[in-house]
Amino acid sequence: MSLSEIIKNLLSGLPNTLFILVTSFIISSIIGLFVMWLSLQKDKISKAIAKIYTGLSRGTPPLLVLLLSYYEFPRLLGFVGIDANDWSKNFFAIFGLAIGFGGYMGELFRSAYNDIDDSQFDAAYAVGMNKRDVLKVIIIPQMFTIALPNIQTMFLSFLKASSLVYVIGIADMYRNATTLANVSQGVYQLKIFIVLGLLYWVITLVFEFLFNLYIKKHNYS
Amino acid sequence: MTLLKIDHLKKSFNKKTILEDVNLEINKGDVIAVIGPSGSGKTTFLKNINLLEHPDSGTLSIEDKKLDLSHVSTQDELWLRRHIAMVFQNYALFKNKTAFENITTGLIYGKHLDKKEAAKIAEEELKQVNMLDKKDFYPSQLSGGQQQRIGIARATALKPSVILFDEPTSALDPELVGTVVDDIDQLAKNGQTMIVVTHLISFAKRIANKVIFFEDGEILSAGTPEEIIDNPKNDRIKKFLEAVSRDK
Repeated sequence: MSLSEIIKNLLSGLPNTLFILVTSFIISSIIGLFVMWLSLQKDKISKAIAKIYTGLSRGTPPLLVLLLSYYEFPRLLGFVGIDANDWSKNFFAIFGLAIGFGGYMGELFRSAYNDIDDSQFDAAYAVGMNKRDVLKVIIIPQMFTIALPNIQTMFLSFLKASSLVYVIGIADMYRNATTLANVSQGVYQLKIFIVLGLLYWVITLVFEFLFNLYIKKHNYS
Repeated sequence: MTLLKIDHLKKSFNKKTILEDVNLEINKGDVIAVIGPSGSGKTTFLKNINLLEHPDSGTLSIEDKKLDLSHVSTQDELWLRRHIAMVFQNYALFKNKTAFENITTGLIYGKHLDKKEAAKIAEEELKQVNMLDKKDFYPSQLSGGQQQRIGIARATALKPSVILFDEPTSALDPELVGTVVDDIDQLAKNGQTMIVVTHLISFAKRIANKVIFFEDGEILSAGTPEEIIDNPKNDRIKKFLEAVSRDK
């Protein structure tokens, strides 16, 4: 089997890999922001919910969360009268990854938020800004800039974790590699997986480059 | 003419009294220097005036409006801050904004001016403090003195009735103090009403027409710089001034 054949075959799974990666990362970030918000509330119930979810999210293997998402979540939906049997596998993959990593994202945003000096709030209120604008214009942009190096690391962890979606039968790059290895009776297995590893590495380099470009452009410190 | 009147301002934190029945009346154009030992409640006093901290009780009258400080609506809070600006000890410039944007942000989001109008005012203010050439610099690219001058420009751009200065020179290197002091002195000469918390007694004497001595959350004594600084009658103030001049 030629190298170009292997690359072509594996790359046919790239759109699925990228779609799941980007979508689950965005949803996980939204969950993370919500968890951060809960953890910063004064009432004990909100704090406790954030703490329990974060603990579960960080303590459960992502593979297990994916399997639960695919096999058990539709059953759960069935109890409330929602038939999810025909829903796309991508939905459950994205949901599983987003839920599985939401706790990490919450902690990442919370630590960035706590890094912002109180005087930034004082100064913003002192010029007459309302609470919403203070968050929108001053605090959240600073929080993202502080969190950016960790967001980058987390994004690359997502990239690698996205290969786990093969267990629920989604044709991503990893799934294509295992299928190709099986078709060739394992003869080209090592070659195929080395190419797969190199492809993931190249994708990582591309994202690293894009992140660094963004960080450089938005660096004010 | 009375511009700002504070009556019976009280603030406690965790059952510890920080401000004990503070009363103050300020006329238009007054420059009030607030001196006193560390921990006496000077900064808390300023933060309670523009409601960065919320007083337990008291009233504040400004511009024909009287506010019960124990129950201030969000709307009144925003209104008050448009009339009382603040300059911070550690500059507190918005780290994610350039010098220029630090000034326009307050004008756009605080005073609701349009961007063009805000830009025009910001340019004028930057010119005023000789910082126009640094307009696109972020705070991290500026020296302490330059940051504080932007902090002053940010406050004056709002055209407030009163500016509160919280130890504006204490975080600066000694050689940078002069320019900031000159800027504040110029504001005083222009008739800007100010309350300045400071440890620099010579600075207090230079700019203020009234000095108040704070101790244990209350005004121990108030009077002209001559009365409080040159000829203090109170032993506690004498002791404080001696200690300050010894430290120098």
